[in-house]
Amino acid sequence: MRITFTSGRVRRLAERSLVGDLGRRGERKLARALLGSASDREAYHLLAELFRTLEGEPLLTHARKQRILTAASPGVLTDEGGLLPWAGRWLVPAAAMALVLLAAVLVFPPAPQLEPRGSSALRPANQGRLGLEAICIHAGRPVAPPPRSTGLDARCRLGDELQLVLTHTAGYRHLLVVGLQEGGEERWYFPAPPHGRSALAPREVEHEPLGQAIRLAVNHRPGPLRLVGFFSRSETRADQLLAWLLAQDTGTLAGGLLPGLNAEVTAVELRVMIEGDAP
Amino acid sequence: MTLLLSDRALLRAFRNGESWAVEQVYHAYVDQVAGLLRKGFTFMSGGQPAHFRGYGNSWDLECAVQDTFSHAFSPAARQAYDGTNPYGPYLLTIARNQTISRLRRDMREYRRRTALAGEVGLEQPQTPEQHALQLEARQLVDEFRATLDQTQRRFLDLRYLEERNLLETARQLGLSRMKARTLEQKLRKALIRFLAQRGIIGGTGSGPALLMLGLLK
Repeated sequence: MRITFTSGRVRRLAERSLVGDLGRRGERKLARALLGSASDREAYHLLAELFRTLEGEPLLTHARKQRILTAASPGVLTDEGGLLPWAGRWLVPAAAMALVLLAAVLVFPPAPQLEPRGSSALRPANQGRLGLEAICIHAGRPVAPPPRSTGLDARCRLGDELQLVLTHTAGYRHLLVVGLQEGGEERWYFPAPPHGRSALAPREVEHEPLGQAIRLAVNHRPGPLRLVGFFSRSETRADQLLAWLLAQDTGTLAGGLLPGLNAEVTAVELRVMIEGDAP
Repeated sequence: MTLLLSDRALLRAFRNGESWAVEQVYHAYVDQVAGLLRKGFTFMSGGQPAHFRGYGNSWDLECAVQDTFSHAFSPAARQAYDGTNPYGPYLLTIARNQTISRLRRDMREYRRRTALAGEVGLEQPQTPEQHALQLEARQLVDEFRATLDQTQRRFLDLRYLEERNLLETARQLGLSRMKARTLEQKLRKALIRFLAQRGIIGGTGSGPALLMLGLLK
């Protein structure tokens, strides 16, 4: 077997593409090069076959599957019609968020074992881990969490963005995240847009962003915000969860399963303070 | 597979274009689509039976899979799925139609047959050249594996042969997820380096290519 590309440039692009570290622009360059050269397509094929063999001969290698997903789904993520109007003003452009989240990872490296922040930010399940974190993002940079003595999990300004971060290896199937502002006014964070029920929870994730960052200036006001994530084995109705939550006194979510609901539900609570002048 | 039929929340999220749902659907069906496009299928054209023999070239296959999902994930196609019939056949119909359209643009790709040899998914026998290539690839990969240490080989077995996800693989090896991801990249780059050292990838631009990967430093 002999793999020969027509130029070093095409070869570099092909190698990096199959390794999985070629960016979108590079992929476009590679595509243009391969479309114009049958011999380069053949060389790419031979190299790809070796990567496929390394991975036990799947139809597509892991790296290529991921690249195809990325290439095929931007229309979904950026299509204006794909997002319901209510969410439109909340969403931060994906590229900017990618940078912000990278910064968040750098500033807040994952702890080996999550510890609860505030009242009950983390609840160990029978097995696996469960955690919900709130990160304020000010001017594109994550804000350090307030001291534990404050009892707060995050302190944001009204002009900030709020990013939820999920750790979930406990095997729950459904998740719903709701927030209560002072006075009991609710805000729905997951699923987004809300559809009256819990949605499939991202699984086997550690410190990964849950949905898009939220601009607090939209639909939020200064004051305490109580965020609760409901994890359950089966789908649950949002109105039932909200009614249950409203019936609880502040600080009573320390237990595991919630009584009074048919579904087995575990709640994780976060306390966020939003500071600033009301618009 | 009845993924979107059994999970209505997923269906709603998918129709709304939520990225997590789209990704879940993609991973559930990508192998079916790739399988169909690699193996080929029969169809009727102008009243005549015709056979598409499948994409033998990796790049062509990847492009066809991408075309299929780009179309299937468009807002119109997501909304057009009725949610009452299995999604798999709907997706495979898109794959077939996309392929047939492409074939019609390039009639040379047609291979007419006088009779249908089978249904969708007819697999073509390997040519002697393909068989020889496969054997050589396996031998090379075996030789490459022999250069790896025990942890690296175990990683490959867990990740690819046992088809564990990155997190599970990391757990089994006592690594963090980030370290497992780094190891995966390192092994892919090591394969490139091994092929270059063996003279499999040769000719143009070998030096710069390896430098780009940071392997000769």
